[in-house]
Amino acid sequence: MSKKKRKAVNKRKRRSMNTKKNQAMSEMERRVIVWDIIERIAFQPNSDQECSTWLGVYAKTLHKLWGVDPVQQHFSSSHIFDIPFLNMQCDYNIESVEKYSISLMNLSAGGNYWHCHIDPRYFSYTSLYSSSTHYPHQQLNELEKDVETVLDGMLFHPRCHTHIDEIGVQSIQLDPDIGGLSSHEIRIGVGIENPYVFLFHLRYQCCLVADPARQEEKHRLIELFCNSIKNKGQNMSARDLCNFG
Amino acid sequence: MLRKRLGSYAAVYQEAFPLIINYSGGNARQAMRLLNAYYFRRTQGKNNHQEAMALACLQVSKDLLSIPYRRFPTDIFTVVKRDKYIEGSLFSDPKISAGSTDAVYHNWLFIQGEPDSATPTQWPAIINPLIDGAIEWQADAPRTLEEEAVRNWAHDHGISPLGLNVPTNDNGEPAWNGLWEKIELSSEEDVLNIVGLLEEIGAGLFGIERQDRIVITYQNREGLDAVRDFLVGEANTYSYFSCNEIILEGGEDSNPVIELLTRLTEPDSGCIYSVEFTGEWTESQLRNLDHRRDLFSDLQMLWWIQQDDLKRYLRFWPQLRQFFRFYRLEDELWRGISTEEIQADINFIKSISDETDPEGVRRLQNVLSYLEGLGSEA
Repeated sequence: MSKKKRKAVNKRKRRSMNTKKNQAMSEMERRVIVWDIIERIAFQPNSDQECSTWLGVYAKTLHKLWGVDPVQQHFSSSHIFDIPFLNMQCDYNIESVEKYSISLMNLSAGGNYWHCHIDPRYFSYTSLYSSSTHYPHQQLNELEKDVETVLDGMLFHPRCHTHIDEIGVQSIQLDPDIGGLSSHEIRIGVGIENPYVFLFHLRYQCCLVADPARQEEKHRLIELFCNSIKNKGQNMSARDLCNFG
Repeated sequence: MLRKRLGSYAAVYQEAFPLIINYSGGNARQAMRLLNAYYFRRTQGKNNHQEAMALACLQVSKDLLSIPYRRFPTDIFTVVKRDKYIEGSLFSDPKISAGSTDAVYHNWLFIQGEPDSATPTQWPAIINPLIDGAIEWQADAPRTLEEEAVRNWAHDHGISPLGLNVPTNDNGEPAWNGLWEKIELSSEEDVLNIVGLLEEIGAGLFGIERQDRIVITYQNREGLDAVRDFLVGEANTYSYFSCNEIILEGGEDSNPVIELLTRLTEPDSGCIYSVEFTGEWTESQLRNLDHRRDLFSDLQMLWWIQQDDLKRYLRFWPQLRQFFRFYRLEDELWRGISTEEIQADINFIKSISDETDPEGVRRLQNVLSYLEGLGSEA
């Protein structure tokens, strides 16, 4: 879709929203705004330096959420990294915030389990909209629930997903006596158009150490994004996003 | 204990537990060393279970068991292996008490419990499973430590290990003592460049919760500051770590152990302690340090010791030998690292730090200057 057409669609939507200026926004309208803000402030690094920092912080914090020993690694816009406890590798190539490819591969035997290309020359329903509206101040009491629902669909339980044990990855069950999860709990989102969202959702999904660890991360992110949106949606540093330090 | 170390991942690697328990001989520290080495090989070395276990045993037997061959009490081991106990009187017999005490103190031999009331002098004992193979050679066994040491010695001296002749004395008999002495002084640490070193020690160095104790040995002092700054700088790309630099000078007129105790009065588990050994450490100073082993148990320690000095120190450090891991820096140390990568790390730390002059940036800038100096010399 051309830029001109996209602008026109957005304009119509904004006009429709403005007519309801004095009315409370619907749940759906608010969540569209929240989704858009979250992607914009946390998952759209602008410059090469910002992209490099985002990937750098991501690389240096993966071990924390996964509960494994840290390893020396530098991530660039095109990189392969190991997820050893799943005997899996992730190979990604980011060309832009709208164009990337990603593969999940067998670590020891080689070969792809799953491969995905995102090609921005073709549109999807979600690519049609970009919000320029702020979250309605008078409905801030709904914000936490809105953020939680959006993050659920974006990261924690993508609407379109595949379970990794269903694409050939060997099933594992971490120690259930201390809350360990099974690899069936890993849901790979299959329609994620932003590479940084994809990597970040993979980080959460591969956290199998314990359900409380996932819950803690979930609550941390909900609080982080709620605070950021309340503070006019300032850009979020990768350090805060990935809980570096 | 093994489950606790791996947490939830214990279930993934539990097939190794029975073997680790078996090879540990019931010694908790040995079990943890085996587990860490096994886990490293599985996760970073990409080895399968069998390979990882074999490499872990080899690694730990090299790291943990310092065996001065001249005093290796093979006669005691042979008897213990046969009888599964050691006579208590052996520890008081002036002729062989040194060998018996060594065997227990060095963890070559594990006492399994107290004597039975029916046989009050017989202490149940086993040979450390990692050296058990050295006592009784089997056709399908891997090379024993002695055989490996002889081969290394031959290699170091430009001699083919095939057809190696043992030096003889004036009577034409093998001069074993001289040979063992030389072999004992042959190095057996892993020789690594900076990238390999970082891979090996990174898990401990970058982890806030895990403290490792590392000895890094070197041939020449030149460039050592850059290595230290590189390691501390890289650690700072994971979290904030300060580095406490300590120089301990040994010798008749100094008190290096007291100096160390003073510096560790208020230990900080979030700090990397970089300790450089200089001077002529005396035997009593070395032994004194060995007895302070527990001081270092919760600290991230990087010790820097000249290669030839370490060979002399090790015989006085049976406890520290088991507490530390040893690595040797290779001559082409900086192979595999580029100034661009270091610059990228400097930019990274700058981008995430609130400080105007972060420690990690300072350290890596020093490394960069050092490498640029090397480049311009070349």
